[in-house]
Amino acid sequence: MNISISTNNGRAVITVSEDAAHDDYAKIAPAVEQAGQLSEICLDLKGMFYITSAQIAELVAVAKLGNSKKTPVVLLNVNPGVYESLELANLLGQFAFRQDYSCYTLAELIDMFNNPENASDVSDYFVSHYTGDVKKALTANIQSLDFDNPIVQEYSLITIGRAYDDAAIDNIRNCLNSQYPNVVHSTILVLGWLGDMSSKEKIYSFLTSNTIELADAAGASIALLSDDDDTAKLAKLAESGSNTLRMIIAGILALINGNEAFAVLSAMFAKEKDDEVRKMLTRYLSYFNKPEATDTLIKLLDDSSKAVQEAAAAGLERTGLRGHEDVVLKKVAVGGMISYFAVKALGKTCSDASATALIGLYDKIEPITKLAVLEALGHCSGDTVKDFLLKRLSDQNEDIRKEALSSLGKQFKGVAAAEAEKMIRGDASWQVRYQALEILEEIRPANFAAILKDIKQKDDNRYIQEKVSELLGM
Amino acid sequence: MLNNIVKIRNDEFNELRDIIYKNSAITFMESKKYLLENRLSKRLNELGHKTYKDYINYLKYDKDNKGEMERMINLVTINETYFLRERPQMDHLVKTTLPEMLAAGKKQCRIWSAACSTGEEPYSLAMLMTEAGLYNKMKIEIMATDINSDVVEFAKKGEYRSMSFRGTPEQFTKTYFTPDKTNFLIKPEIKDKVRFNTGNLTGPTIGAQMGKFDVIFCRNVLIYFDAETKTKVVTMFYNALNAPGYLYLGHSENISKLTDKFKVINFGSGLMHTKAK
Repeated sequence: MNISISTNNGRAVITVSEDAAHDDYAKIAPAVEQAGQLSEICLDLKGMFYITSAQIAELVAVAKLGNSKKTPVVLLNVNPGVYESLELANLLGQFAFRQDYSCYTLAELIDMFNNPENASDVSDYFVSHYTGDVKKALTANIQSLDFDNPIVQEYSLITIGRAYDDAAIDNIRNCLNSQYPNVVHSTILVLGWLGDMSSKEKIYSFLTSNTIELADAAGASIALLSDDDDTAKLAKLAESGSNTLRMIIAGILALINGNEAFAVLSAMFAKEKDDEVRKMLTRYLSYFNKPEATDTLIKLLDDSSKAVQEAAAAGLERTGLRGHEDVVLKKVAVGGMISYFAVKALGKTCSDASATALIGLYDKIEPITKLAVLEALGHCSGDTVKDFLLKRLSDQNEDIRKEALSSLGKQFKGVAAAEAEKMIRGDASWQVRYQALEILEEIRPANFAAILKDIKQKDDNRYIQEKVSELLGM
Repeated sequence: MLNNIVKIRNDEFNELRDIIYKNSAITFMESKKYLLENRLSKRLNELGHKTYKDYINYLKYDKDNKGEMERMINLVTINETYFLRERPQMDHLVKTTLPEMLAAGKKQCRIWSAACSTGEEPYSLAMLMTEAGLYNKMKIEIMATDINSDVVEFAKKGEYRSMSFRGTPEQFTKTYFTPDKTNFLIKPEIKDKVRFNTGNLTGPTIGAQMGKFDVIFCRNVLIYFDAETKTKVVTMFYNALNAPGYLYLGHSENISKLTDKFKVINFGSGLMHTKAK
């Protein structure tokens, strides 16, 4: 059968094969009519790898049918070849697209674990549809170390763990003895997620594994299984460990994130000589929501290593500045990524004084930092800021115009709507026009529908066309 | 650890896929958004960028970013691969196609691993053919190419991290690799069986450069090309194959609507496209 039609909960799902012809498609309209009020008409194209122009015309007919009934038409599981043909025919705006794993059998879904591009999505789907059949099939895949497909075993374990299903805990523990590193890797992670304290000591043994991924996974699980004794144990391990182990331990401490963990991490930093490790320790310090962490990062802005300075500036964006705005402001003129991250850190709470200072520095800084300044000004008000942003709308650089328009849209909506309308009609860059469209979408001026219809006719950029179609509900 | 997935906005995705297309001719469909997120989030975290907009600005404007564009292209275009990936096709070559060629009196075989990425595929073929004793029965030459010079250099070194062995039996690793700190070095007797070169499958001279082959492996690559480029590449493969010749593509790469020149053989766990004698 080339077409099968089913309706469920007000939704019609029409499965179409590659060989479907006009007579097959002709069955759709009566079936849809008979179904009465539908929330959506879905065409499942998982079995269609290529599409002819005649078949495209049939899909357009279904789109028209949906349009006449004011029911959205959704194309499910579209393969790349079909998508490209629809793109070439400029029909992407006619349909919504969705991956729907409920159209596949359990065996087909498990087979998709073999494809790295689908595996995580399929696992997500199983977790949200963890039925008895799914549980049974996945559990069967982890029962023996002799199972012949380690990739399927890896993702079965990951899925069981993410569903927090500990019914097969003995089988899961046994997978630590697998000959396949990917299976051991996922087992270590899953035992951490399931809080399996009895495996903790064995997981500790993987911290010194030559296989970095196993050591890294062990770190993540130890953090989840940690108690009061672990911080001291980790501090001791760090003293004798390699660079890699010290970085992993720092990551564990950041995840534990208590006072003792911060003290150990600070002590590690004080002793550390290797710049690559110091850079990572700096990054991990920023995960602590403590004034002492901010103070340390502020000091590290003057570190001898440029990489550490950059990591400190980036970390300050995470921790907040806690009264250190003046020190950070001085770094804006330094140049490079330190300036950039300094502006990013300032941007979160951009005061009037900071805004004035950033505007004053604008002409002396590099383009990437200029963009960060424009973004930061999106958090500031006042006529000076407004005028400054307005002037940037005529800059030659499209990214400058886009960022300035975006910031105007955040703080000065009245002006932004008028400017956005001008720019969507006249700016040469699709990115600026897209930004203008987003601003208009948010502000929704009285003539919004008229603008959209006009743009739909005049703008030939595909991204603008797609967005306008979406907004017009086409 | 501490590597969060950074979600990409539509406008960021559109701009990034334009950048990728301009720099590699590879198209990313809307439905592949998650792929960019999965492959680039770690890099964003390393660099301290919280959004893709920041990362795109870094790509475009940071004067000290030391080849970040190339790095990004590599991250999003290099196939995630490992030794013996999609093994049934390799087994079909070793257990069916090559024995049939031998039975037909063929004494030599040229194999092309097109778009070989970091070399796991051609080395896997060399290992399986060694296990099967085929090198004692015929002269076998494996050529491997990729557009990316970095991955070709990587493949030539033959030094792999453990995750290249996901799905590889331990015994296999012990037989053909020597552990070296955190890496595994491929043994010379396998390394010497593969010749690597850079090569662009969409370039005008690739077919002439490579010569004639009996077998071509090109898996999970065509999916990244648009229909026109796919047709061009498949035609080039057809011309590069002897008759009979055998083309192995990825399991989701159906070319029946692009060309009718190949006969498709379904051997149960995969497909093979045959150029008839």
